[in-house]
Amino acid sequence: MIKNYFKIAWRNLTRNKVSSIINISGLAIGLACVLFIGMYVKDELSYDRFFKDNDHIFRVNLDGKMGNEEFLLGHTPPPVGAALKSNFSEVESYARIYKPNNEIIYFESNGQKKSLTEKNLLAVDSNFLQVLNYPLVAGDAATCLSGVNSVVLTERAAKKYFGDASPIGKTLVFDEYAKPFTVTAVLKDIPAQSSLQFDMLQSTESIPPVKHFNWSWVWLQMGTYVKLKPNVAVDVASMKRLESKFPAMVNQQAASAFKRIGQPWDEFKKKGGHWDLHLQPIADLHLRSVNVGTRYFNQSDIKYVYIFSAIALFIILLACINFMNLSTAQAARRAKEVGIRKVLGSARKQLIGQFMAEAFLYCLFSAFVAVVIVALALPAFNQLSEKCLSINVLFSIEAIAGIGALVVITALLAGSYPAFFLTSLKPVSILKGSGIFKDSSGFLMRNALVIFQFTVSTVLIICTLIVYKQLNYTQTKDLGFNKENVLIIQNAERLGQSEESLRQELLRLPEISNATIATGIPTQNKFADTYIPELEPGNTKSGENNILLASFIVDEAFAPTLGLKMANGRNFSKEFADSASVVINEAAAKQIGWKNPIGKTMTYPGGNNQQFKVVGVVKDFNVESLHQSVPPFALFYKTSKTYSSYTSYITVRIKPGDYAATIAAIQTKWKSFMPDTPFEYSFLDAEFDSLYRADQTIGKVFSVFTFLSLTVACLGLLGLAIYTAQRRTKEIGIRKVLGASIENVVTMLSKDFLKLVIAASIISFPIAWYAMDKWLQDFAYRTPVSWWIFSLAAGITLVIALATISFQSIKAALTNPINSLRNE
Amino acid sequence: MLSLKNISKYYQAGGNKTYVLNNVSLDVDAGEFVSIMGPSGSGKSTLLNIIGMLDEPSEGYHYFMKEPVHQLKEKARSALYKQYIGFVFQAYHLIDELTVYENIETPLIYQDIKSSERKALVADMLDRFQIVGKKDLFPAQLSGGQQQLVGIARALITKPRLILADEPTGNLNSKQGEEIMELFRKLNKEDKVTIIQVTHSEKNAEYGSRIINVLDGKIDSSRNL
Repeated sequence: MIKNYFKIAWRNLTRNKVSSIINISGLAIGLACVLFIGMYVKDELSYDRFFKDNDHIFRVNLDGKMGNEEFLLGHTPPPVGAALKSNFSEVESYARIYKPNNEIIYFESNGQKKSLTEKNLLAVDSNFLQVLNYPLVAGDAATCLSGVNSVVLTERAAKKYFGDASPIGKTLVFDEYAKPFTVTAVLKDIPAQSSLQFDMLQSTESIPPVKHFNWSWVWLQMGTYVKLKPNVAVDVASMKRLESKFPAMVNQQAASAFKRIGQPWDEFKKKGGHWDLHLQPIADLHLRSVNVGTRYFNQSDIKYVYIFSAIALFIILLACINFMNLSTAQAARRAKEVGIRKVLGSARKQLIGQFMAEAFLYCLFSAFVAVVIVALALPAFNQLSEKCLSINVLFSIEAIAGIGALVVITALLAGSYPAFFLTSLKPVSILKGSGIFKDSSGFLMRNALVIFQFTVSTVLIICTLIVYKQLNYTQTKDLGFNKENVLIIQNAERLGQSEESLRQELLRLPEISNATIATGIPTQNKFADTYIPELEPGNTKSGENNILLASFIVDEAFAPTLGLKMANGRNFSKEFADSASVVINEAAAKQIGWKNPIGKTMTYPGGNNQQFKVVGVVKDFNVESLHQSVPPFALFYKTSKTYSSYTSYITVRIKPGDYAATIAAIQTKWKSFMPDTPFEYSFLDAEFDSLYRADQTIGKVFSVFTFLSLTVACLGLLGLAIYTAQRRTKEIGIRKVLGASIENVVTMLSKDFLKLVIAASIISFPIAWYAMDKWLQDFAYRTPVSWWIFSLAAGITLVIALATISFQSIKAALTNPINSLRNE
Repeated sequence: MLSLKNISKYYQAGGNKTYVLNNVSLDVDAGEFVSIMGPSGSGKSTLLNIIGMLDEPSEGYHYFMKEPVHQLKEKARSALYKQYIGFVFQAYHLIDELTVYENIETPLIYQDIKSSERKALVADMLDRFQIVGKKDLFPAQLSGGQQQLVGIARALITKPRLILADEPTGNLNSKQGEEIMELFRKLNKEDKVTIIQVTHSEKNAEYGSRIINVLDGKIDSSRNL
């Protein structure tokens, strides 16, 4: 019986080539999308799951409020790990991480002296590799980081520095310490599915700031992992109980540190401040930490896992709908067979079995095509999604089982409607007379399904358009300064005293219009701390008058070089002694509540209680991506020594023209000062662009899936158009004989479909508007959702649908009526 | 073998009932060869469909092999006709996607007969109708007469006691028609198969043992030959 089912299915498949190709390509595209998205989602879900005792490892997060600033960070103060371990018996061990600045490393390879800038350096506690067992190729996890001057390389880094020679025992000279470090172990390359990425480990013991701040409960630059003892229960309730014991410990431990920065603990608490520690399972770091601020961890958002899964579901649904539509559209032809079989004694369930077998065969066939598509398109998909997925994933047992299940589910989905619909027909009504069968039944269902398909496609088109509009907005919005033609030179702190001389040298180049030295630039290295502003007379604002201000320390050329505009007051100037001056932005003035900020003062308890006088207010400018609104911000003058920064940048505005020549000229100047230090530079607009990498990826992925869903929907429409033209051949013949023009016939055939597409557009508008309104909430600055996007999307859908239908309609209209009528 | 008592079939059209069959009673004994005649629209095909249980009467009693068909559920009815009745159609109604062999085999599949047994039965039938050479052809590759031969072979494969034929020669030329009628006569005489056929042709009707004339939904006359 089964064999018989498949035989018929196969013959149907080969006999109706056009509809088979439409069905199979639609299903194959749908299945390929599901496979791609499935691989993507599986990869996303597999982050940080490869460690031994994975479920007992946690990251310590800090949920804090100081002044008006609330934050949730994946970073902690340095003493947190030790405090947790000594106070709670549940904690077995802890390990901390700290990301030092890029390091220039001098080394010898093949007898040659070389230097490189290492950007993937991470400082960790000596037991780091015991807490997180990243696999080693050589060396001992327990001891390799115990020496202050030990380094551990990944295989990739080892190859970069020493080629194929064994790196163990070799030395790397770190520029910052002018000291050799010895390679003690080699790690396997860090898996892509690790949310912590690094190429080189050094000990935190060797990092001055870590030592300097080891007392501090407010220096939030370290990541802390804790590992609980194996017998500790880690379910949600137990973890809550454990966390509930933390505040008492923090109260006790943090007080002295808070006092030292001028924030007595009791006062801090009274002002509504809090400083809570939470443990987050390591497996949640990648996908469930969007609201956790961090500069260490490679984070994504579970939201996109859901969105992409939904898209996959919709595309496969669209393909199933094609199958249903084409099957029921061909009901007239299949109905005869159903009628005969019923007369010959077939029970309905046997017929249902037969149609399901047919759907199954189509799906199986499509699955093979889909796997081939995936194999061919995987490199492109990897590029698009910035993953490195391997086709081998598809040949694991669980993947094959998954694909099998997918085929069965798709077959059930696609085959059930035709199976139940066709087999419900009464044989006598089919076979009566010459077997003509009016198939207006299923017509409503078909229309509803077409509307559904085009609704999904139009929603995706609108979403894609809005994502791109927002991305375009991020590039063109006035940031409060001019980001074009700004070159950033890194490593400037290494120039020491000669930094200013280099700046003067650069200013002499004709290609350069201005240059500035600053401890930070937009997108990089802002330093935030608490300041106490003077209250304006008459301001009765009670209680809280601290403000968290992010800041750079800059020279007088900073504002003109970037093109910042003053709202009030003046920029720093050589003509004034500005060491006790500060320039704040409008957001800071607004938050403090100063109506007239010029001349007001604020003190910095974190330093030596210096007082700063406001000399200017700069118009708000974005220092972060447009996801964030402009924070209260301050600029201090270079002579102020408000705080010390380990980083400095020379930022240069260059004249448009031959960039390569300009860069070469700057490099020559750099080399004359720093012959051994690599010249590292970047462009400010590119730095800003890189903040939207994730958004751009989403945009690209969205547009690809939009295209595919539209393709699938159009395939279905094409199938229906072909079928309609066939079914109405006789009607078209008669109309032509009666004098209908070709235009008349084409209009008649296209009109019905276009109505459906228009209905779909209208349904899609509110859905897309709702979805995109939510998405745009992620941006503090967003493009308006304009009406023209909706019209454009509807227009695109209509044009594509029309193009799909018209070919068939015109072909049908051109047929000689003599041929179509002779058959009757 | 079968007995229809006061069978009516009507359609509700607005307030009026339009009768296709009106109070028809008919008995057919085993071994008869009945020809039903009448003009187009007289109700003869509906009568045949009701006898074959493909259609249900609006009123009346229907007994087949002593079973009260009018009281049976769909499933039991289908089981009944599957066992005893074979159908032959004017338009042959072969399944286009199946070969001659497979078309003949299909009813056996639905009777859950084993593959080896099916092979033997189909081979016998092909032999008997001398169409062994055509067994792998598809219906579209056969002439009308050959297609109807396959249709009859398919109807006979389950060894039915009753064959219902709706204008079996309607689409055939006279020579092919004659061959089919000869075959029916032979089946009736030698294999004792009861046959009820609907026909327009006086000449074909005379192959049977009884001619029933249907007019406006009623049996107008019945004569034995």
